[in-house]
Amino acid sequence: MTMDKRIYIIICGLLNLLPLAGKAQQETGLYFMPRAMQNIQVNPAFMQEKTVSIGLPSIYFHALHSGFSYRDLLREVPGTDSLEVDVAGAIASMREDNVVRTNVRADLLGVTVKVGPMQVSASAGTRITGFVAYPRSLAQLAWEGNAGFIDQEVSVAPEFAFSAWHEIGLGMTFRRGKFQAGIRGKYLVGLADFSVSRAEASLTTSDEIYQLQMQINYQLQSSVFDPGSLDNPDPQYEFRPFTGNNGIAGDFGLQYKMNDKLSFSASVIDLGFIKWKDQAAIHEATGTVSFEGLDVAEMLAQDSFDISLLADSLLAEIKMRSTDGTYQTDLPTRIYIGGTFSPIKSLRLGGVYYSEFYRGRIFNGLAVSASKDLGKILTAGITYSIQDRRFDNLGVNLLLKLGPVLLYSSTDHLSSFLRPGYSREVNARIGMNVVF
Amino acid sequence: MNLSDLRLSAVVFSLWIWLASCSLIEGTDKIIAPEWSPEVALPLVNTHISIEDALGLVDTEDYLLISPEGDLSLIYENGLTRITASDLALISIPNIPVMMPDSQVVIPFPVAQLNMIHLKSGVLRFDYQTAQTGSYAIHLALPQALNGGVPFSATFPVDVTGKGSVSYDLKGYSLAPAAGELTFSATIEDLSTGIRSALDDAQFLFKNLDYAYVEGQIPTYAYSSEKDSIHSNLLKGMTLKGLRLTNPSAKFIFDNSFGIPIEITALASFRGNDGHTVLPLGHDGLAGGVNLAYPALHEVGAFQRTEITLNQSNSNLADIVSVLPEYFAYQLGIVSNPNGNATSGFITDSSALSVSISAEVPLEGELEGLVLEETVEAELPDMDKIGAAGFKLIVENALPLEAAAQIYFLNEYDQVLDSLFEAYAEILPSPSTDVNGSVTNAGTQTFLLSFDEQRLAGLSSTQKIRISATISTAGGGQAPVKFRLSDAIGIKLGVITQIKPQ
Repeated sequence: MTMDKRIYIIICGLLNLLPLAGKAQQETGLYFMPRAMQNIQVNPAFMQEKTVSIGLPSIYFHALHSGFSYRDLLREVPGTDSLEVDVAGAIASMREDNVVRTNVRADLLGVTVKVGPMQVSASAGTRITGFVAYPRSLAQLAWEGNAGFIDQEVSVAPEFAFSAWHEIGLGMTFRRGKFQAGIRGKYLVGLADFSVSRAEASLTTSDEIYQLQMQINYQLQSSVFDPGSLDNPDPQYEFRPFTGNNGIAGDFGLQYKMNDKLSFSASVIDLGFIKWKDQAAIHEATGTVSFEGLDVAEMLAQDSFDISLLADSLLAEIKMRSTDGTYQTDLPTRIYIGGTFSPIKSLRLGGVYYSEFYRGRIFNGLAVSASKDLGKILTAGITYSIQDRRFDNLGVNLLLKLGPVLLYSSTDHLSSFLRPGYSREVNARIGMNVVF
Repeated sequence: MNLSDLRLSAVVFSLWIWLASCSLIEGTDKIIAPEWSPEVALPLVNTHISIEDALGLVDTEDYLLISPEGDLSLIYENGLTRITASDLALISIPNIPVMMPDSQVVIPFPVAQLNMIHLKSGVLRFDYQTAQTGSYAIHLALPQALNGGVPFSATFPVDVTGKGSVSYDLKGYSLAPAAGELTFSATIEDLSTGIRSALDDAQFLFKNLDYAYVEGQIPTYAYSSEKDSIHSNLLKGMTLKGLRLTNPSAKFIFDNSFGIPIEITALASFRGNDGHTVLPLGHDGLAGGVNLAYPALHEVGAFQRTEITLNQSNSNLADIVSVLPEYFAYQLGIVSNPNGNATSGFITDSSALSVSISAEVPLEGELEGLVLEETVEAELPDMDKIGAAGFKLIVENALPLEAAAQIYFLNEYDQVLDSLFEAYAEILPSPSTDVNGSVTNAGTQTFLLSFDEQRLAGLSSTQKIRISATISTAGGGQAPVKFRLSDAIGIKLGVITQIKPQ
């Protein structure tokens, strides 16, 4: 196997870890799993069936690449059994703005205790988010060159944000008549952050003689993780379980149970922020680099000409500086609005609309679900969601009740397992609760 | 929990696990790498060079004159010849024999018109041969020979033994003939008797007289210099339809330190760069003789300058310039005191006449159809990494010139492989000029030059590049233009090229 093929395998492997669908990235299956106490993560107004539920360590993983799928990148060579890397095809399938997201939620422990019309919940866990956004024009420039962008100002600014934090939550749910209201406060401990707070970069190719002008206006911020200076990157990171970065967040939810069969709910999740001050620094790079062509007259006037000096002088136009300073990042805030209908006791039909607000972008989705208690120990459900104008998102969720032990798993993107090559998004949750 | 529930659960979880274990990538060993072949657009050259910039690159002090207003003129200065007193041999003083006088004699000075001769060398020699014996004293006097204001006189004893010779150095004496004559006295005294005596066969000789300065009426004398020439290859190979310079001029410069009237004539001719057109210089003054300025008697050692200016109105200089002269031949004729005037003048042994020429050609005029062709060795850069290229060339011409050109790519046998343009291209578009011939608006021309892969490959064996150009001044060479220091040309070159997959 050649080195190139190994690289492609790694790339494709990463892409398979990021089966890609749309921009929406929230799990909808959890919304339709009333028996899993983790559903309070999407609406703190939800009350558990059992008096006491204990959530044991569980994991949720989500990955998204809105740009293209594995199959967009690889195509079969007719008449052979070979695959050809089709970068142009992948670019063609991209949108103007493409995102790569990963979310990992490791719930360490959770508990809900229901006492009459009130439920108290507590949880602890760790969350990791990764976000990269890039314009299609950046990929086009890299692969096709700039000749197709003459007399255009092309955005080439990638944007990214990587954060990790501990989350300790304490919540309460009240029921009064047909209404249930829930609130959960969360104390956050920021583990590390490296993110872009301002990302502006564009390349303009003049139509005269193709003079190039790049405008750069970047601001990066980091905490605990030290990227080094912009002109001399030297990433350093040492894991520390606790830091001086603190934050707060709140979840708010309502549920209205019209009757035993029909209910409506709405929630706002992760409304909060983290203030980063532990080894916090702000890095800026601003300037305009222009290359108009070689000034032959000036070169002739000089005794010698060194092209590297030209490059240095161009780069000198970019002003870079790093300063210590605190900053704040907002959590990706979500809203859910939905309802469920149970025509019979063992069958639940439901729908939910949700939006996520993150880094100036809105990620929307709409999902419907049907779940059925298949006997006393198994509950199975399916979801269908429309996410970012994609209509091929079919999900399943399963819940197995073995006495007090509740095993559950869910995914909103079954196709990412059935046809992984065509998928752009994957998520999965698996865990175990103990209920009494 | 019943058995059916367990079976159902087992089936569902098995399906779940199977789904999760699906292979995501098939046939990864047979992935064909893509070929990265971006098409890039880059600026290559973006330069603006003025005449002032260009002049900064070379030493132009010797041939370019820049007026305070920024007007430019080509200048040419060259010394043609230097004629000294010894070359002219105007004055030569022969030896003067004087027989032993009877106490005093008047000697005619050989150059009768001179009334002052400063001697830088010369001797007075006394020779005798006699049968007499005894001791004598000889007394000499030359009152018209002064040295420091003291007239020459001498007394010397002679012991006669048959024959002998005695010399006196006259260096430093100034002779002042009166009416062309010198009075010389010599007497002999017999020392044994104290009586004036005489010697047989005795004579004096003024010998080897050479002057540092002479003054008087210098005689008329004609002199012709050797023929000489100046040759230049600078314009070789150029052809043109017409060249009309607005105000070319040339000066013959004569620097004269002879203190006498001198008439000079110059015969000059020019041969054009076609090798056969010969034009004699037409100028009435030079051909008929020009009287040069000369220093007065009180200006000994000074040079007086005479300039003979040739321009379009008094000469055929414009015609000469138009043939692009590459060869200049000349001969000078000199006549001293041409009218035989009795006016007193002077010559020193360092008197000289320097002749030089200074040409000044203001870069203003009309040039039509100047054809240049030059072949240079060239090796093009490696084109292997380039698939195809489209060049965009923008010329912004603010020089008062227009030019059409073609560039040929030749192999080692001078065979044309390709040409840069399909046909002669107007690489220097004509700018706009005002009534004074100064550029007001640059002419702009844009070229799109396309080289596909095959064409680029054809250039790989290029060994030489031949540049063929036809140049005229702005407006087709039909109206005078003026070159100024600020005139400039801007060249912008960009390329769109497909990078070959490596």
